[in-house]
Amino acid sequence: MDIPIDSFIAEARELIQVLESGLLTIESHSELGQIDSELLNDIFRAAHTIKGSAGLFGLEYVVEFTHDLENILDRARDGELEITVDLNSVLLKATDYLSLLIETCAEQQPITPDIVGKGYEITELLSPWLDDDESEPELIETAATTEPDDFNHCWVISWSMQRDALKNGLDPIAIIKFLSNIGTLEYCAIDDSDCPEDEFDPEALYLKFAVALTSNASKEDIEDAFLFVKDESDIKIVAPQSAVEKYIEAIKHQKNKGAKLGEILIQAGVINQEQLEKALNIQSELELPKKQLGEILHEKTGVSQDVVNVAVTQQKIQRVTGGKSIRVDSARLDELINLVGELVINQQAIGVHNERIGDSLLDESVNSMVGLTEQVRDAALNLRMVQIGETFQRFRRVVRDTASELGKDIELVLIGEETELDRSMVEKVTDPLTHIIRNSIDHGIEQQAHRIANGKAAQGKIKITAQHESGNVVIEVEDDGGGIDPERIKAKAIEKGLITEDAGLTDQELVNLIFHPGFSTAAAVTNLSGRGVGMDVVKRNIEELQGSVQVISKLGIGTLMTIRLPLTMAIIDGFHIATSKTDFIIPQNTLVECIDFDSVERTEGGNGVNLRGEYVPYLTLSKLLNLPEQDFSKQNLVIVQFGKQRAGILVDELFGEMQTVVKPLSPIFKSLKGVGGCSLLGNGNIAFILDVAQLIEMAAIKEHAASH
Amino acid sequence: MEFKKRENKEFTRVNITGDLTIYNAEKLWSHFSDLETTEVEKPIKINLEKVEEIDTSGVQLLMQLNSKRYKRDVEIDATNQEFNKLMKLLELNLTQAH
Repeated sequence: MDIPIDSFIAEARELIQVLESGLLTIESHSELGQIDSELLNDIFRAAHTIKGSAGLFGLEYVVEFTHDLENILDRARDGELEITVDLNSVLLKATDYLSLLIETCAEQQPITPDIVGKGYEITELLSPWLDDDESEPELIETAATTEPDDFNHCWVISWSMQRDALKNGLDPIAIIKFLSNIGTLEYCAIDDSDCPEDEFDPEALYLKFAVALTSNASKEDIEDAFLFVKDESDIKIVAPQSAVEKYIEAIKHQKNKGAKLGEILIQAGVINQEQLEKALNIQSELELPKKQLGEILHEKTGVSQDVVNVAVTQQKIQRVTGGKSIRVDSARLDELINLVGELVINQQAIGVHNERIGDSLLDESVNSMVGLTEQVRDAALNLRMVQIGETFQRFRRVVRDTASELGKDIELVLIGEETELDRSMVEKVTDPLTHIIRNSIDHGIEQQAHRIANGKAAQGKIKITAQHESGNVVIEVEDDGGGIDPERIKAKAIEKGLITEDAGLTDQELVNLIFHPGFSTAAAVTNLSGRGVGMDVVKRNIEELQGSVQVISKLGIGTLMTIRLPLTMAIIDGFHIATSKTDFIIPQNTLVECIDFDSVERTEGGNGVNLRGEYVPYLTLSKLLNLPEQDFSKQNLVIVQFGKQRAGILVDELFGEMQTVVKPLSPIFKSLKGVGGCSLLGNGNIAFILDVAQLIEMAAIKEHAASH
Repeated sequence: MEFKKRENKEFTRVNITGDLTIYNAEKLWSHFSDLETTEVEKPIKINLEKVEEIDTSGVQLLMQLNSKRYKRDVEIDATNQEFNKLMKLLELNLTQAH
């Protein structure tokens, strides 16, 4: 796939998101009778741009299908039809189908009869809202709507002038005579509809003019006819199709990095600087929602819509290849991050040699390089940071469709969409989040009648929040459903043999059993959940991202699922420790403090310490990992925190901070608890990266077991 | 420009001589405004054979006379070659009474 079509696919995917997101917003507002006209315009423009750009790449089937979608949206925009819940539902299906077409195109697959068949079904669904007169796609648009449309081979020129033009010595008919001298007038129309019935002023100009001209003259030649009247006139010059094709060719061959739409059109000779300034002035004077520049140039200056569409696409391509914002294949970013990782490892190796050599000048250079490497690392990692909002928007569709399937009415509230997270993390957290949300809808939010009977609002609510907290991203999914019943969980767990009657678990411990493999309390197996392969998979997936998931539920009130994730898993700031001659890294964002183990008061039973009045459980790392214990005169307790929970890790040696390139563990270490990855040290040794969330959980379990 | 009016039983005859341009548009319109309010039932027949020059204001005035906005029926029944050439260029047909 070459860059332009690649760019089209990427753009189309974004525009489909705009369509879907907009339709979902309209659906949620339509019940209140509030449809935002600007939003409707955005949705229309998204469909319009997809159609226009698809045409440029010869994707006629996409053009044809999108035309119907555009037609309905245009009618809605003009107030000719109302977007009802039924229509919105069909439009969403059409959006899905459009997405299918684009993905088929992205995979360079042909449009199969099966896909065509689906298209017929969707078009059939759309047909009640289609304007019959507009059901055929308009392949070529002519700007002057008053003229017959068979003048595609002509220059079509239309103009009107100020009322006092005649008094100022201007004579529009002289312009017509001039034009007839540089070509053949195929058509001429003088519109006198503005002439008043009363108070006719014979010296005022009421007439408007339009001509179709066959000529080899250039646009500049034609514009010369209006040289002395251009300041007092609205002139629209629509190029013949042959010229449109030339313009399109000229635009396609432009290589102005980061050029704006107006600059592209001027360079191709479509418009001149004055026309651009006039259009920009018109745009600046418009009230919101403002029309786009291309739309204004089409309407006021007669620039062909095809030319505008090509120029807009060209503008985007040029942005990709050199503008302020560029689109980069994520694989290239991954490659960059990998290389930065290698750079970090090499820099650490140089650091080790530097210490051995002990040269002060070399030391200075190495320190400088360390600083620069850190900056390169941060800059590279920042490139992969994306806002989580795009993922959140997908959940609107999930909630809508799932709620609709289950006959529930649910409002989705999204907070913190601007929160940034490494793109690879965003991709990996989407599935677990989707499962949690589906569970909330399926098991959490009650049926309307049940809610009303319990004194709740008929409409359920799911709130998804994202925020940064101590170097992590915290995503919360909160519902106001029925909550998780610990007694029901207990009964099910006993039935499944997971616990015994006398297990003595607290309500929270019982609720935590939902993360146990094979556990499900759903009375009926639906196609959404209830197969018992849900929350354990969610937990495992999140833990693989070095994150954690916690649940807090109140019966009858609702459930809160909290996911904590590191911002990135590529290169982290770590704290290098060792125990039993084995190197470990503790993620810096979980580190609270390091203390001399002998200086703290230990609690009875030896599972915790008294840290300035706070009880903190601790683990001995060597024991946990079955490493041979070493006789160290001084042991260190590293206090770590994940979320609100703290624990101590007893280790032998502390080496200090270091940049850590995270590498995945070999599958043979997968069962190793408390270790989430590994890293290569500057001296060539391997260091294991501790999974602090898991260690804290293990410390809590150990402490709980000891207290019982 | 010269505006000459002649009445008979069936219509009002108007002969225009000279230029039909912005320079005399006001004067010409004044004559036709006077005619508009008198003997509305009788049509006006205009002879443009001796018109030498016509500009946009002249064409606009004739279009106004030829439209339903003007209260009396107007027919241009005599023209010259220059006028016909211009009407052909502009694709206007003002010789038919409205």
